[in-house]
Amino acid sequence: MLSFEQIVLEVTEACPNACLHCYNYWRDDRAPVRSSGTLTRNEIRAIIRSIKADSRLKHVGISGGEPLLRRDLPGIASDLIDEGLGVLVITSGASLTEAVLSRFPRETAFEMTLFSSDAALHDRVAGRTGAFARLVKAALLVTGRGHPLAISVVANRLNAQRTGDALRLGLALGGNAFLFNRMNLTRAMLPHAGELAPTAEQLSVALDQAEEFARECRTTVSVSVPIPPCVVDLTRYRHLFFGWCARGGVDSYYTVGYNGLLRPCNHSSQILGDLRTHSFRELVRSRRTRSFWRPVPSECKQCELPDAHLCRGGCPAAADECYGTRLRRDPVVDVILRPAAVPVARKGPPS
Amino acid sequence: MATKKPARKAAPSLDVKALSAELGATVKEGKVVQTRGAYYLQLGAKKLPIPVGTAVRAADLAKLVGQSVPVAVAGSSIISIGRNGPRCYMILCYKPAPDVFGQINDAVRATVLQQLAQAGKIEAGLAQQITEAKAAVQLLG
Repeated sequence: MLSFEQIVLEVTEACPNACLHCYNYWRDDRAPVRSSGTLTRNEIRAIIRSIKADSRLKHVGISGGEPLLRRDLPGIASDLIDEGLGVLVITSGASLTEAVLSRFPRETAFEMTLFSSDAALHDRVAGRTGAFARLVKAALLVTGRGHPLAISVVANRLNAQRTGDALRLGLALGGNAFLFNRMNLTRAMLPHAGELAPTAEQLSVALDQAEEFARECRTTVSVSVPIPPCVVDLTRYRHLFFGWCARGGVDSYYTVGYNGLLRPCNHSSQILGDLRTHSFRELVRSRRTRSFWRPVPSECKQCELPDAHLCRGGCPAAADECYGTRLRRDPVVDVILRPAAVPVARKGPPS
Repeated sequence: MATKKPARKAAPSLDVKALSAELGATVKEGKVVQTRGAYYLQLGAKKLPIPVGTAVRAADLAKLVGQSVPVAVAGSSIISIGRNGPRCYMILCYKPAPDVFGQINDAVRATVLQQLAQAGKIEAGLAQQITEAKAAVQLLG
């Protein structure tokens, strides 16, 4: 029995938003909601049952793209809850109406990404006019019906310094779990990193604001995209919980694509195999999967900073996507500490 | 008139045995020692280094130096030390584990909303929209 307790299920690649810092490798070439390879509700149930038989699966994060674009999403959530699993729908809130929400089981938790308390700035980062208004409406619907709501603030250079306000708005909307994530880098984004990635100072300010928010509101903030300790000293934050890449360990969250292809995580484009033809156990125990997690960048092996044993080079998927190798450290370190080493785009950031 | 002192609220304790069962770990008795600024766990003849950082803080370990404490270990990994050790949250990228969800007082939410509106951080119309939505929910019970 594999010890993994959670997976991410991407039910579609389609999304109405066009976030400036979108990390999905398919961001410029998305499969439509109804494409020939899309798993049906029954196929999803069969795959999840099979993963459950192979592991200690307890939680499924339903993601995308925008998962609510699938009209059968409430049914998918019901199936998973009937299987005894915890379900979290990660959404921008777009297209969530009262009628759609009423079809979800009460146990369904939601997570919404809020970029700013300022509507115009949120819309600019989300790449869609009206995204803020839709999110507010959806968050109020969700909390009004008593569903747990997690608010995730994703920071880039434009919004990092207003993190505290965004978290406070998330709390006012009814959020009862809070995440702060820095944007993660991908190959498409790397040449624009100088314009989009927050600086070390901005990250420090954002973390200070998250800490102040957590202390004042007597809550906690989870910081899940790794912030290497060589970029910011994390030891001074008492109310923030820092997450690190589990690198194939028990807390790993393998990711199932809309077409049943398994990947190491949602940040990676590496295909480990097809769950329609192979079992989860076979794919996770394969040589290919084991070798994915193995490398720790040589430049990080001697690191003696606090949390170095957890960091181990930051996000290996980001290094893999940007540099084509996991033998290099998380590109965010280069972008912040050695910007001259990062390629620069001649055009503006992709919109 | 003497007033009765309120009973002290017990600090939430970690059930090391339950956690170990959950994680497939074993509970042993160990001793925290400090050598040249580094912390180690003495488990019989074994001396395991305890990595210090945001998950395990030096100040917390300093309080345990020299004490015999229950330790949950799985292989060479230390899962928890002591009875009241902080449990690390399971944090997933973009997906919080269920134990991250907490309860927040409605009064705190209302105060925060008011502060945001008064400081001009959000538009008055948005504050009103949120207030009305929350009031409607309360009315419906």
